[in-house]
Amino acid sequence: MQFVSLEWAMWMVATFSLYWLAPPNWRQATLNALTMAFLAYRSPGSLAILIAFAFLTWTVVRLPRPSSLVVVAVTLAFVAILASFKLQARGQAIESIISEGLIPLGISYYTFRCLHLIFERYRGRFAGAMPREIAGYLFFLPTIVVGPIHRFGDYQRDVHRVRFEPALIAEGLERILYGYVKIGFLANYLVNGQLDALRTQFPPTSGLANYLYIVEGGLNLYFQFSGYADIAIGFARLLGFRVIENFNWPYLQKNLSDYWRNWHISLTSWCRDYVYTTMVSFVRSPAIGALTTLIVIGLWHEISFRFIVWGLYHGFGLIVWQRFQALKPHLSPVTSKPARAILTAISTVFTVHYVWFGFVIVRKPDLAQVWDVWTAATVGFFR
Amino acid sequence: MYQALCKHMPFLPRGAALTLASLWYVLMLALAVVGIFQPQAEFTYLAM
Repeated sequence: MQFVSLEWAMWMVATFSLYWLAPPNWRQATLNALTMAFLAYRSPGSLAILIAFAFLTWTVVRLPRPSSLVVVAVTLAFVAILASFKLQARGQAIESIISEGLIPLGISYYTFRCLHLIFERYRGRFAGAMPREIAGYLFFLPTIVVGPIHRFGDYQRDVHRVRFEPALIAEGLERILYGYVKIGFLANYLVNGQLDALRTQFPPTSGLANYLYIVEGGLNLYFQFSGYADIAIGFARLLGFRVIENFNWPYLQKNLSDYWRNWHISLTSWCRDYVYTTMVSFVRSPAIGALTTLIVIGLWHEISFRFIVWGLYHGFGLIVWQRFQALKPHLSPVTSKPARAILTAISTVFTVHYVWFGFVIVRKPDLAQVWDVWTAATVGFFR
Repeated sequence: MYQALCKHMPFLPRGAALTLASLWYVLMLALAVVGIFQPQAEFTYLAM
């Protein structure tokens, strides 16, 4: 099921109505029941896995001090289950992945939410969470399908002060509207319709056709994904919750480091907290930490060679940026305002193109084709 | 949008802000409706 469908709109309306009609003490249970009904209807396998994951998570977080061995064993079990589904779906078209249920709905998102709870418990960060709060957090319908990977602390803060707030509901409706505009109008109509039609007017091997292919991929992914995030965030606000933002103008950032702080924020902040900091504390090298984190982010999307290459591509970009930052104090500073503005503009354009060129790695089946697109979109203009 | 207009353009009369915000929402709604009936592009993040 797509978010842009009458079916999803009806789920949102039904959830909103039943949730607010329920007595305050029953609201979370109502929402949990609706999430279960949704998953039972759309992806029964996913419901079974989510229940098993929630049970296992609860078993670990109720321990006063879970040992490292328990945390490592449970983490490996979660990751192995997630990886087995991802390997099963490798190379399949997205339509068949959804229709044949090759990957349980939302498993990548709720696996990371379960691990977040376990890691936070291990670090002694939260105590006294009730089973119904943990269930409410894991079975939170707005974010179950396509994120964001919201944090338990935010959920726990909101769940205690949920009330029918017309201003928050108006904000939610506005975000949902913007989400539909991004997905429907900007991504589907403008980028995939009009821009694609423009691209096909040029010979396929020309520089412009290949450059437009790269731009189209970058814009489509951003408008679609941030549109889905808007709908999820808006839906959460309709229920009285503020979940983490997932995007903050990522294509207008002036370097790769800022880009990663503003793209899929909930995933990158999760990986920064649990992968990067762990790696850096072990190996004492920010470069290896960045490289490992980006490879994990790549593998989270798909377990394949191309996503490892994509992770290495971004990891390498971040290492170059880190090295440049270390060199910066030795360079003469740019003091003039116009020169700084020009440098910022060049840096922003370079960053967004680095990111868009990177998307080609995961859009093409092999590296030879990626190289063809890259060369055509650059030196192809001068042939 | 109405709140943003009131905040960032305090010189704007309330009625004008309300009219502008309403027009903005009508435009957004129209664009969303136009977009909903377009063929949907592949989106690999969904359901993963």
